[in-house]
Amino acid sequence: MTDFNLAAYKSLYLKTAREHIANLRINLELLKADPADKKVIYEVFRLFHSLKSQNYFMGFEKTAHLCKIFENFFRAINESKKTFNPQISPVILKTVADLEHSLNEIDKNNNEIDLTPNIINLENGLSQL
Amino acid sequence: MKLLLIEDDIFFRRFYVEKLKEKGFVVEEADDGEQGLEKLKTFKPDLAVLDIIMPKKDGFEVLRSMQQDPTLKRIPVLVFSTLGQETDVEKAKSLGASDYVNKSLFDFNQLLAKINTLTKSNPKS
Repeated sequence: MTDFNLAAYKSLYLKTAREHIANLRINLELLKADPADKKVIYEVFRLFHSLKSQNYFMGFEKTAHLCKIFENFFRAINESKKTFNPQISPVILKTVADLEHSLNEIDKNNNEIDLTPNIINLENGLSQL
Repeated sequence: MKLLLIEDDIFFRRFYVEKLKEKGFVVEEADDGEQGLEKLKTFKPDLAVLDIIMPKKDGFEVLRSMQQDPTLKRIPVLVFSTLGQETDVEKAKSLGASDYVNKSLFDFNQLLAKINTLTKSNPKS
């Protein structure tokens, strides 16, 4: 594996990750208004996928894992294996806030927050939906 | 050698375009599948590096369109995937993609090796 100086890309990572979070909030609001909107569902899926990929790349594995949970959740909805229930919206918005919190910690201290309890709770909760 | 990187995420696009240019490749970029198809026709790359989950047209739609065009069909495609996309990679291969790399692992030597293998084995290059 080639060793790159990832620090040089940290500001671009943070900038784009925060843009994805802002777009997630906009699209989650749209989804509350129309839970069956296929374009919005795909966009939410795509944004969680992008956030996951960026965080794995930068080595922030817990933040990436949290994104992966909702990427998989919205992938299943996108593939019509599940339907979106708006009652889960507060849980998703809470996760988006946790992701933002982790980004802020990465920005200030170069460390992600420990999202392990969130990951366990979500994996247990979402598997029952 | 001309490469086209079709990737919606500006973070990955900027990183990989910079690194590939440093290695001497002529790199063009597209930020969604629709633009990617246009640039495949105009830029005529020796190889396309293709993301799957993108706006407007996803990577599967790009591959289907390429298969229907005798010129585009000859361009080798390296899928740009991440962890958890094993099913996507298999589907992409069934639609004509040659191989894949995990963009989140940034194993740049592996990427270069795959680019070299695919362009050498392709009669277009």
